[in-house]
Amino acid sequence: MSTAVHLAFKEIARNKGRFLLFSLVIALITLLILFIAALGEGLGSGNREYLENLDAELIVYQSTARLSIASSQIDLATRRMIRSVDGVEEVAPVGFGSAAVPRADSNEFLDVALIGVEPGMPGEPQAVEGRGFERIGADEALIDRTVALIGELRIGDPIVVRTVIDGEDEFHTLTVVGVCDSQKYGLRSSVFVPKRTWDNIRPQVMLMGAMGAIQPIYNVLLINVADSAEPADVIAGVKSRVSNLEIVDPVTAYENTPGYSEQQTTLATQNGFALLIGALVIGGFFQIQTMQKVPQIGMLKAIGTPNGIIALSSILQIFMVNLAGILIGAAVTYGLALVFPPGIPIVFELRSAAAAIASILIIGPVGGIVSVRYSLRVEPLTALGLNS
Amino acid sequence: MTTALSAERVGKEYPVGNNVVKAVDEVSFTVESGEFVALVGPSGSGKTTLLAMLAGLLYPTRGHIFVAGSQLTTMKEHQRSGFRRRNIGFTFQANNLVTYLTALENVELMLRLNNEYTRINRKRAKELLVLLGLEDRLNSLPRQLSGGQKQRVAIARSLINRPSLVLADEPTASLDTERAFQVIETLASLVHEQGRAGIIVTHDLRLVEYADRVLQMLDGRLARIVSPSDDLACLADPSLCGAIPMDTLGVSK
Repeated sequence: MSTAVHLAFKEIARNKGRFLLFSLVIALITLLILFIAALGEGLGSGNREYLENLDAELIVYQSTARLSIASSQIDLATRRMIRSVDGVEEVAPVGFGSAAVPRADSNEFLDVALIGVEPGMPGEPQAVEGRGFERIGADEALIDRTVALIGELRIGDPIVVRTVIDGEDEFHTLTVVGVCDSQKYGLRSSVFVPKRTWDNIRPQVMLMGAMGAIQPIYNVLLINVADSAEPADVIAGVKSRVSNLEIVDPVTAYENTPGYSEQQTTLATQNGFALLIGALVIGGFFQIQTMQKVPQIGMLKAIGTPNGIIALSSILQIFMVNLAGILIGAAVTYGLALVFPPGIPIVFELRSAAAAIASILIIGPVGGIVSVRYSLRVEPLTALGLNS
Repeated sequence: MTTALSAERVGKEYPVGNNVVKAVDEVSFTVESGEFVALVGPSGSGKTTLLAMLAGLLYPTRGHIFVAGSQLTTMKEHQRSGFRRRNIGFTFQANNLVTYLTALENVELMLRLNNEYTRINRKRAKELLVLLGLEDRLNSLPRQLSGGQKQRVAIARSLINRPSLVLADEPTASLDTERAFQVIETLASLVHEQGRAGIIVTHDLRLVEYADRVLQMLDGRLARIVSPSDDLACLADPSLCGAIPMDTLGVSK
């Protein structure tokens, strides 16, 4: 072991330039893989963050919407019917729309998801600064951190919300009463408003109810199930009373959001290819190096160096070069992440970054296996210029 | 003196198409401890193949080889590797040294491989290099050494483990005449002083004056054994010499 370590370290120490070049290539691969992982996480969380953080157990869609929130339309009469189902503790409507708010750094607007929620009910996120909603018709907004950052908004500031109604821009001024953690939906940061305010801002989402009365409609309903009830029983109870509904839990909801799985599969494929290319590049580098060292390996074997020492020395070098590359790549990625502007869907999440790094740690030796095997097959006879 | 090396009717054949080529044919001889033997012959005469078999790098097709009383030809590959490490010292024509180790580290490598990397042995490695005139080159990398200096480091490495047998394959091939003489003289004197058995393969007949005996190979066969004090003209031109009776070939000096 110690001779293998000695040989591995001495070769690296006396050929720093060459091995640093190897490490830099691995650092670039690490950078690429971490960014793809971060992009996957960013796009994934940008699509699912709000649904993932929901304080509700079930989400009710119009069945024809096929779990597309934008296509789902549910009126308040449905809510009333669901509320009377056994086991339903709370049921709240949520409406989703598009809007824009001014950016502080330019005259441009930031596209946001405008989400109408009922104060104190499932769907309203927890305010981490300021407070939540108290009245359903208040001209108030609860904004997520990204909106606060890009709009340079604080509690008590007015926020202008631009919506497009019948092709015309409409502007509504609300007061920021609270800031919540990031709650992206549809790759946009969110601005929450009380449901009646949402009704006012988005007047086209109304339908004619019975007796000609206009009543608002929402996209989905959120249900919290009583402790004594099972979600499956509640789903069955709701469906027996109201037809034309689809009811799922939040995880099923975001996994079946149109385009979500396709997007994640695409990114996972990219990641897989990046890892494969990484393995080939690392393997290629070490193979070239081994081929250049054939006469020396032959000499080492001729003087009686065991195969184990030669193999272990190569594996240690691959591991050290790989580790150095990963550390450089991770440090550069971290540095870049610090200067990345907010709003770009890149999220460095510890779990996915650790998985990416573990993958690169594995692909190094996998890529180098061919060169190790090659070095083991070098004949000691080559030291004498002979072949067996 | 004890017999350090014994080759008994050693042969090596290679199939070439439908024919069999005898690279080495029925070679027998012995080398005693403290004896330095030169193996000469034209290119293709089988010198290097014979050396490879004596080193345990190549299995003979027939015959037996004994080094320090152990039969090499019955050992498995990993056993031969360990045996070489402990009992055989090597100097090659080129690529002798590990390029990323200094002169001293190259010599010490043999100590590490044999788990003999002790303070006393490290001191001995340094002394050996000093003895070979490399006192100011101990920490030089091979690329910083001349051809002759590299070969002297290789000689030090081949001797550091006190091997029974020291083998050198054309160690002076890339050296000028003066350095070639220096290297051979050094190797021969160390073999004699330390009581090792040494075999050097060389093309250069001027260098055989340092050998105790000269073994001439021709067409894979051991053609004759002569003393450097004999008329060496027949080594350069075999037609000048009469045939040596085969029964004398296995007899050491």
